Amino acid sequence: MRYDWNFSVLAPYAYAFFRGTLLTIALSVLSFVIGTAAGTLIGSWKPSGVAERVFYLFNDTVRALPPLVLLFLVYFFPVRQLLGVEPLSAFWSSVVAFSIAQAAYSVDLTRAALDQVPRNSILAGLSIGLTRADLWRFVVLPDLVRQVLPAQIAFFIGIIRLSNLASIIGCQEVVFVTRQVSSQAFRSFEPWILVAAIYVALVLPVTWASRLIEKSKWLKRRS
Amino acid sequence: MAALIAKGLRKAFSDTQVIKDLALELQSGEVLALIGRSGSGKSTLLRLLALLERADGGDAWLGQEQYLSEGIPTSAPFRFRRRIGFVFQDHNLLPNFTVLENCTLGPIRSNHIEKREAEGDAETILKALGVADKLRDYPSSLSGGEAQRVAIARALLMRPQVLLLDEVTSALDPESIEAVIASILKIKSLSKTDNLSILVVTHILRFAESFATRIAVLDDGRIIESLPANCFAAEAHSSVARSFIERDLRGWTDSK
Amino acid sequence: MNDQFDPVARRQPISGLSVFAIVVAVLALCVGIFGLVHHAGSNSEAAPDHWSKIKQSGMLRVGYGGYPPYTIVNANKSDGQVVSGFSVDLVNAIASRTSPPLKVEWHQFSFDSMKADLDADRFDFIADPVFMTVPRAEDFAFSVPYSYFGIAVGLVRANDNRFQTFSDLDRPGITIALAEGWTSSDFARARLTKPTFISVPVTGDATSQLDDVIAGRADVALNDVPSVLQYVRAHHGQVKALWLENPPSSVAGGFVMMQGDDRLREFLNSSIQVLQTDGTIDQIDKKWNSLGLFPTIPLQPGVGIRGLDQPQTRGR
Repeated sequence: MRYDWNFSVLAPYAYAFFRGTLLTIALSVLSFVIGTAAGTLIGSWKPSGVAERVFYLFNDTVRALPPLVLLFLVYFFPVRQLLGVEPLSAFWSSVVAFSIAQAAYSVDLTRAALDQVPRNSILAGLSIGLTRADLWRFVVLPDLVRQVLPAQIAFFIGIIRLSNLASIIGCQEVVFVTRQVSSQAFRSFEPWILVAAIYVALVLPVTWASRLIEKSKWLKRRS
Repeated sequence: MAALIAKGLRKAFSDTQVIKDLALELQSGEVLALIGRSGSGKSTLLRLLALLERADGGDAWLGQEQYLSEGIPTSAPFRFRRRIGFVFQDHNLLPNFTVLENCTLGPIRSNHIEKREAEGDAETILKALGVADKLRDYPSSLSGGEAQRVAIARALLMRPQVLLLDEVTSALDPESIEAVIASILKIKSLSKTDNLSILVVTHILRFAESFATRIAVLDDGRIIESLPANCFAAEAHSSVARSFIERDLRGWTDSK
Repeated sequence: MNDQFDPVARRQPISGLSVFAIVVAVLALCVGIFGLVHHAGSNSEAAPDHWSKIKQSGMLRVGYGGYPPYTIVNANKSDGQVVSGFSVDLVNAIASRTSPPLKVEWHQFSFDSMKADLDADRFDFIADPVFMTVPRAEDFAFSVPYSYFGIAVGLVRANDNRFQTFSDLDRPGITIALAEGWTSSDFARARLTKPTFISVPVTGDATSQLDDVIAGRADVALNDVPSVLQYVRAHHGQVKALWLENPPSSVAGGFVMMQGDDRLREFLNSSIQVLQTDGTIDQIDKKWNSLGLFPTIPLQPGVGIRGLDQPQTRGR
C-alpha cells in the first residue's frame, strides 16, 4: 500500500514552524554564548591544592549528567518552595540547563587549550615587557581562540541538535511545533520531513563555515 | 658605572644544580661575551637575569635598582623586563603577528610610544638590518636568518639599557650566520640608548673576539675567568678557555 | 586570571577569586539548607488551596495539553486565541459566570509531565477531559465527569473486513497496536488473550500508534473515539473505524487538579452540574460536534405540577 503524501496539510502551520525555528535559533545561540563565556572564564582560573580537587569534582559531576536530566533538574527545581520566587519558564529553564552543560564542556576545553599555549610565545611576550593583561590579550587569547574554535563550533552544532529536548518541557521550539502539528493533523511523516529539512538548513552552513575556518591561514598561524 | 650586577645566583633543575653561586658585573657601554661548554648553564643564566626564569637565590640590580633579592623577584617584573632586551636562540617571534607588528607591539604597549613613531623606528631598523621587504609578512614565511634579524630588531626597538643575546646563531645554517653576525655588529650604531650594554652568549670565539670588549668563561655554574677580549687568547688559562682557543686556532667554527 | 604563565610572578597564597568562589558556594549551601529545613518544618503537609489565591487574583490558571476537539492548540497564534475547543468553551463559560468574572490564563503542558507540572504549581487545574482511572485517582483529584468516551474502538485498513465485533479480535495470528499506558490498551489486554500486541510508546497523541496499521506493522489499532475518528478523517480512503457507535467500553473524563484542593474541586463540580442542567454543555457539544458521550438528564415533572387546581395553602 502506498503512503498518500500530502504536504498541503502543513500549509496552515507555516507561521508556527517559522516561529518555532526562530525559537530554536534563539535557544541555541543564547545557551552557547552564555555557556561558553562562563566556561571560558571559569576555565581560565587555575586553582591549586584543595581548590583544584573541588573544582574538578564539580566540573566532572556536571559533565556526567545527560542534558535531559539536567533540563528536568532545572525545570522542576522547587524554587517556589525553597526560595519563594516564581519558577523560570520552559524557555529560560532550557537556556539555563544548556548553558550549564556548555559551560562544563568549555571549562575542560579552555583548561586544556591554555596548557597548550606555546611556552616560547609566553616568554617572547614577557621579554618585551608585556604586563599580565597585555600578555593575555596579545599572546594567550589569540592562541586560545585558534585552539578552541573548531571544537566550540562542533559544540554549537551539538547544542542546535540538543535544543529539541526542550520540547519535552513545553518550550515551543521547532520540534515541539512539529509534534503539535503532527497531533493536530493526525499525520506523522510530513511534519517530520519538514523539520528535518529545517535542521539541515540550520546546521549545514555552520558545518561549512567550520571547515573553511579550519583550513584558513588565520587558524594555522599558531606556531 | 655598572649597568647590570648579579650576586649569588643559584638555580637547580630537578636534582641538578645548574647555576651555583654566580656573580657577574656588566659595565655600562661594555660588550661582554660569555663562552662555555654546552650544559654549563649559559641560557639559564640569561633567563635568570631577564626574569624569564625563577631563581632559587641571589640578588640582581639593573643600574641602581634592585630587582632580585634573595631569589625573590620584584612584584612588578614587567617594569624591568622592558628595560632588558632579549634575543632568543630560536627567534621566538609571535606567529600570529606580522614582522612590523612584532616589532611595534612592545614599544606601543610597554613603553607607551605612539603607533606611528613606533612603526617609523621599526622600518628604519629593519631596513638597516636588510629585512625591510618583509614588513608585512608573517614569521612563518621568513628564513631562519631573516627571522633572527627581526628578533634583534624587536629587542632593540624596546630601547633597552641592557641587551641579552642567547646563542643567536646556533640554530642557523652557515649562510645565515654571516648576515646575523653582521647585524649584531651594527647594534651599537643602531641603538638609541647611550651606552647600551650587551651580554652575548656564543660559542664562536672569533666572533667574541671581534665584537666583545670582555670575554668571560662559564663553567660548572660559575664564572671562572674574565679577561679583556684583546688579550683573551693569550692569557686565558682555564682548561675550558684553552680548549675553545685551540679549536678556534684549528679553524673549527661551529662546535658546541 | 592568575600567574599561571609568568614563571617569576609571586603566587598569592589564596587569590581573590578563590575566596570569592568559596564564599558564593558557602552562601548557596546555606540558602539551600535553610530552605529545606524551613520547608520540611512548616506547611508541606497542608493541603493545597488554590481557591483563595484564585479569588484574590481574579485569575484562573488552566492547563491544556491538546486533545481535539476538546483542546485544540492554535499553532499559529501565540497570545489570545492560543487554544480553542469544547473544554475551552466550558472553562470560559464557568469563568464568565462568577462574580466578578474570572480571567483565564492558559498554560500548555505535555502529558508525560502532567503530575510534575501540577505539583510545581504551574496551573490550578487541567481543562482536557483526562480519562478517569483508579490509578490516576490515587494521584490526582478529578472533578465530576463532563463527558464520557468510548474506548477500544478499532482502526483497520479500508479493505479489511475480517472483524465485525470486538470479540472477533480474540484469535491468534492477529497483531494489535496499542498505545502504551492508555486506557484502551489496558482494556484490550484485560479482555483479549490470543492476539499479539505491539505496545507503542506515545506521548501527547496517538498518531504514531495508529500509523502502524497503514505501515503494515499491525492489523488493528485500538484507541478512543476522538483519536480514531479524527485519524480516519485525516487518512480518508485508506483506513476505516470499527464499532464507533457501540464501543465495547467507555470512560469518564473530567478536570484534573492536585489532591486535596477541595474548595476548587467543589466549585468546578457544582459549575459542571449547573451547565449540564441548563443545557450549556449541550450547546457546546452541538457547536463542536464533539466526539464524546453525554448523559442526558431526563426531567420528570413533579406531582405538584400536574396536580390540584386549587392553590396550595401555606403551611403554618
